[in-house]
Amino acid sequence: MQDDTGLTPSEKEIEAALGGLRPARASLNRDQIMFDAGRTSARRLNRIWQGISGCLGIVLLVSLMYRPAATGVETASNAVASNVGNSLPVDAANRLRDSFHRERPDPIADYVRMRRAVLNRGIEALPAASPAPSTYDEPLTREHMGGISSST
Amino acid sequence: MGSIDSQRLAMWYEAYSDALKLYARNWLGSDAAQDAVQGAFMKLMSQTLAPSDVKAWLFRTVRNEAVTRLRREQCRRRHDRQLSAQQSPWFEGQPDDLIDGRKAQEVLMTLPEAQREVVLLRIWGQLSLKQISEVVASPLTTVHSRYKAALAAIKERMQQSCKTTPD
Repeated sequence: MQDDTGLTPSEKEIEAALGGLRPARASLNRDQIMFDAGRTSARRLNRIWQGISGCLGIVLLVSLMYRPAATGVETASNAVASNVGNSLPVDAANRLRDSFHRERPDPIADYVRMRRAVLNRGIEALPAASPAPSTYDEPLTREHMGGISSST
Repeated sequence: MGSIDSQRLAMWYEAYSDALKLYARNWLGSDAAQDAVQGAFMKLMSQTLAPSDVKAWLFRTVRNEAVTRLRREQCRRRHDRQLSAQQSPWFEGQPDDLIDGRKAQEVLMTLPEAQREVVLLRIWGQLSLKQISEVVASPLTTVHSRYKAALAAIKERMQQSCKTTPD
């Protein structure tokens, strides 16, 4: 006992007399304490592994539940339109998509329209002169027909 | 601070277990006090590094364990403690003792709990008053005055019992 300042001699005497008494032995089993300590340590290690596997299980479950839905095959026009739409405002994107569809030539519809006109009004219904078509997609005119017949 | 190995643990156990159990008996019966001390050693073993003041740490942990157990078993406390006090003495009787162990136990039981705690920590726990003030979380001056008051009360009651006891 280090700092016993301020005690009177009689108090010190009492202190010494009490200090002579030995506390009853603690009947703790040291082996039991060691065994419990080992068991606690092993349990803690098990808990770490259980925690890790539990976390992985949860991650797997979440990834299965929230898997992204499969998307269909994109056509070229949709892809272009959607790509343009992603980077422009909505109305500008719609306008661009409409003009894209409008400007695309439809040769079958053109042919049917022209055939119907020729049947009704004769060869006069063919469009006015223009340079020779560079591709088969462009409609035939009267001059083209005349040129073709004179060459044969 | 250092790591806790089995040799150091055995040393601490040999040195402090009896005093710790006596300290725990301030609140608990014999068996519960033993469990509290065992719990304190278990907590010590679960530490990665040994506390800087192992002795004070052990007494503080036993105190916390004892108070927790006390709250849990509040209803049975008095009955258990009285029964346990009768069944198992706090001190080992030695022929050369200046004071009878049972008498000392009786006198200690008459003290207020806070005073008794300081006496147990000081005399049998061999803690300094500064360490005691840390364990019980009270100012040093309070601890000092409690200790002096407890010693005065013990002296007075011992003298009274000597006068009343026929030789």
